[in-house]
Amino acid sequence: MTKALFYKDIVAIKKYAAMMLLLGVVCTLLLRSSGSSLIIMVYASSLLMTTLAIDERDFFYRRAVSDKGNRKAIVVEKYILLLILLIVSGVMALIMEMVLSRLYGTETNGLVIATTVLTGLALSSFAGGVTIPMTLKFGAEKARILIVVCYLAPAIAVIWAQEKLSAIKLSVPLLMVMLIVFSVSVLTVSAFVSIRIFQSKDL
Amino acid sequence: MNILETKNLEKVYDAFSLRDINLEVRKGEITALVGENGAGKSTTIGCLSGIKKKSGGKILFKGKDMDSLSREERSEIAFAYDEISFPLEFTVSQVGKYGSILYSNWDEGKWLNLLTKLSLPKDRKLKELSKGMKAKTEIAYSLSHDPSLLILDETTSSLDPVVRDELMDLFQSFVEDGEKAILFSSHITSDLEKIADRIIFIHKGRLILSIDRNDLDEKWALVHAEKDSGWEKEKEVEHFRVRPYSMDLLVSDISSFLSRHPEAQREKADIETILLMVARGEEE
Repeated sequence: MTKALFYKDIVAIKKYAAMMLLLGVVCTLLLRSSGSSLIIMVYASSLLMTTLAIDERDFFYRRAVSDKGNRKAIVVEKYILLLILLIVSGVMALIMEMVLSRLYGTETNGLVIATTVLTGLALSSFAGGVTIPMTLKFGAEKARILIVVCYLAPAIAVIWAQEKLSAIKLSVPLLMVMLIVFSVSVLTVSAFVSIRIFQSKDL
Repeated sequence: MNILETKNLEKVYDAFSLRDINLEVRKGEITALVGENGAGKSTTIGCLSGIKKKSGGKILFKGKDMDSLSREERSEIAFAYDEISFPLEFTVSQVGKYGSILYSNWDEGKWLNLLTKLSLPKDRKLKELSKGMKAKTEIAYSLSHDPSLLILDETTSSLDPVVRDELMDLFQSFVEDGEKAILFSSHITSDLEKIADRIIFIHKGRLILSIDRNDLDEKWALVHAEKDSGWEKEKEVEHFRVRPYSMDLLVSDISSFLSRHPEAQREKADIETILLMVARGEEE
């Protein structure tokens, strides 16, 4: 079932994925600062919202549940899609950061670049991890407004945390591990919550 | 043998409840589920498909609880709805592609035959299709993984008579081998008159009547009586409707009724008549 659901979502977002590539190039050329490629990662996690909104608009959940009856698989596929989007956009962001460092002399330390991309991963995991259960619970329209807060909140938190963390002087490897643990934890909790919401919902 | 059965199926909402739904769908038959808007037809089908969580009761497919069916067994049931439930950006071909990935027993040849038979353009997007063509795509998809049971929820409601007639032929040939069945919810009673072998009437969340087609033709009738005749108390009268100067009685065994009241004015009770009597009449 997961393969079929994945096929459906890829068909839905393929034109937007092409835009993601364009966005990556534009960000690099226009912003010219370290971290600007993270926009690609945030955009990638927003593609998930597109698939959720389409599923709701076109009554697709009714089709998916009627066909195979496996509600858990429907939810799990969204998280697999999110992970793939994050990995692909993460690799794109890494490449963009390296291009930036070559072209404009921005950050050249590999570990710092990797940490920047992992920060993007953490931000996008948080955003995606909130988007899925909120959309399943409240529907795409109502969830959209709440999700704007969810995109802004981690961004503000990161800016605030950067000031505090620089005082604490965390080592880069430790910071990288913390970011990965944070991403995995958020997505795991989110998946459990989403499955519970979807299992009990009348469609 | 029953291919589908429900035992005391229940679904409770705040303002509406479905209760004591005991229906049977037999192999080789087309069972119609009839009721006025809001009677509970879609809620019943929603519980069968799992899109609505039932509050109580059991649903059995080939004697096995629906909740414990394997993926292969679940694949034997197909649902088709009044609105197409695929992303509208999909082309008709992509609907088939989705089905071929989802179902190991997807029959590509059958799918393509149905597209041709129903004149469906493979490369057009669903959003560009008319309502009727979307409904036909939904039905073609449902039939292409070789189900044993087809459940239709008002699927033909938006179609013109020509297309509906085409589909009725398709549904009749689906059950002709005697191993498959259809449960068909519709309020277009003329379609059901043509193909239904059994008709189940649902009203305000309750299963009111279940009538075999042969009995409908031979035993059921509408009797017109005088208002003070007292005939509404007869044992064969299932429902009656009081008018200003007369009464209409829905009789389940006209021969038996006529043996006591040979003078009774009667006419054939078709599905629409029974539906009106059930929805607007009073039970004895």
